Amino acid sequence: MSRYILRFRGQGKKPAHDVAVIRALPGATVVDDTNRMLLVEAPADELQLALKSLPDWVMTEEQILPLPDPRPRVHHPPAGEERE
Amino acid sequence: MPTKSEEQQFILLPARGMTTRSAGANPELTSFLVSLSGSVGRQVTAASATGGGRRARGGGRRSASMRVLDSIHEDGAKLVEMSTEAMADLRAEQPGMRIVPVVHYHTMAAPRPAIEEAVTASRTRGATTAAAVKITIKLVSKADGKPVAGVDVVAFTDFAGRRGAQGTTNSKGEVSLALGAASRKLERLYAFPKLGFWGLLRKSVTISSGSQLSLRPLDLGFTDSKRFFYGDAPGGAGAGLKVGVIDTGIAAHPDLLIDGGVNTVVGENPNDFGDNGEGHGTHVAGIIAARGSAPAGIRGIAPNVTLRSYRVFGKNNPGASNFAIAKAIDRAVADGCDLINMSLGGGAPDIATQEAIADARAQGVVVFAAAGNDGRQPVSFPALDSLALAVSALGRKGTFPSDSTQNSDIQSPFGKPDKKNFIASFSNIGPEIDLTGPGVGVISTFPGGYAALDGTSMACPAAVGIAARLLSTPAHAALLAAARSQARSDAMAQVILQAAKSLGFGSTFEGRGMVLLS
Repeated sequence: MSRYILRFRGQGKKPAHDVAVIRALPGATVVDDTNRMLLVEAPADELQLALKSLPDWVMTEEQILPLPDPRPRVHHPPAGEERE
Repeated sequence: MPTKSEEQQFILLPARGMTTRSAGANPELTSFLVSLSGSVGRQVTAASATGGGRRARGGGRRSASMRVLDSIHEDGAKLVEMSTEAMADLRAEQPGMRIVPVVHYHTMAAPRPAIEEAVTASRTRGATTAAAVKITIKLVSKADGKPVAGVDVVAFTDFAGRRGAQGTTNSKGEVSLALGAASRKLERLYAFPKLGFWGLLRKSVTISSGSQLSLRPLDLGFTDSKRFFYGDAPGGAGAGLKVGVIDTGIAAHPDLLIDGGVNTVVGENPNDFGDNGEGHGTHVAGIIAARGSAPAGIRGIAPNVTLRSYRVFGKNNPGASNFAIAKAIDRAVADGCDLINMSLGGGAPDIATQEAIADARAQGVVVFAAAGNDGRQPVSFPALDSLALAVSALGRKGTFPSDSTQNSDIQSPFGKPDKKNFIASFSNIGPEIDLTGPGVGVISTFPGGYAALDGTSMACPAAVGIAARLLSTPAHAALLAAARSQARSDAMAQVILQAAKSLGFGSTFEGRGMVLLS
């Protein structure tokens, strides 16, 4: 199951009531929790449905950014070194 | 990629929402957008739209010229047409405004199949690498002839096709390369030591087992690109500024004083904000804030800043999650950072990171992000975000050895009039670039010593460091002391952007240019 970031866009800290609604969703597990965000493992459709009644929240899928590295790398062996 | 003469359409938006009625909007931005409402169909300058505006007060610099095409709300979104040079000017005049290129969407018809790559006969039969004859070469120090371990060696038989072999030297300084012959002519051979030495580039070289290559030790008194442009930091440089480095963590190092930080990687110890073993964040931190002095140490551009570490890359984990990044931005803001350095990127734009950057700006904090190292590709996210300051990388001939790997980063355009300057071949570019900074062959702190690294990852902290040095001068004391609001971060960004000077590359490559203090 994918993990999703839910971020509260309203004023101040995220409301406890909203958090309770999200925590109660079927199959939802809150992995991490900050003042304005939740990292939730849950079915995307359940989250999207819940956010229709929580307009101050936005949702995005967790993604992983690689460490930057500008060094050139070999992608293939030398010509003639590929065989069955 | 747009050239100087091309004009593009952009949407001008407040930092949040479609109008400035949202909380925290800068009154000057409201005034600017309202004034444009009455200029639909006309060519205007930003300064004339605000009745003289900040730029006029700033000493008569040029003001962004644009044609206003449409307006959605009186105090809200505007559709304009302008050059990329004008966009760079406008970002300096209204730094709290989002400037978003117009995107044209297409219908969602299924794509037609197309050939992406010609497949060679051998590969269609199911390619596997031959167990092959290997060539073992040795890497030693040019100073004392001792073997150098941990050097990544990349041997290209065909550089354009990225064909060849690679490996890492062992404790004897030896590496075996599966090149399929006892002797092989290479188009290029790169050697990237972990620390302590310059990298080595050899072109058109023939190697065979027993070949030995010598690496040049780093001299901490050498004039690298950072020292060339920014010299040795004066006393007090950066004092009063708190800078957050969102990266792989910062290692304990004799040249670094770390005020504190947090590790936001899910499942790891929050108090472990030291380097995760990659060294990247430690190098970035030294460019900004190292407190050593040559020849025994390294001095950053603003050594008196208060330095904080926010680790978002896990241990034994090659990537950073956007959740960890957004959480780190929030923490840096809560901890009172004034500037945030993000030498990372590459994912798709995501609203969590965008919101965290917007919240940072609304609370008086300026975020810098590296443009990316994909070789003249579009600016990567989060540098792409209109509220972050995007930094490209430049290099300068003569600030690295003639046989070092940095020689392969040289590519046009070259500076005007100083042709020794160049935009690094790996640097991403585009209309979102705000600034450029030295990012080729930068010597800085590394776990266990010092390293010379390249990347927009190095250019970004150079821009942060010089911004901190600038903002720490008495002229900006009142700005630093101002309430932490959108107006504060807008004014800080404006001071930084207006201190940038073009080196003659054009705004697509350098934005407003490089911050240079007289």
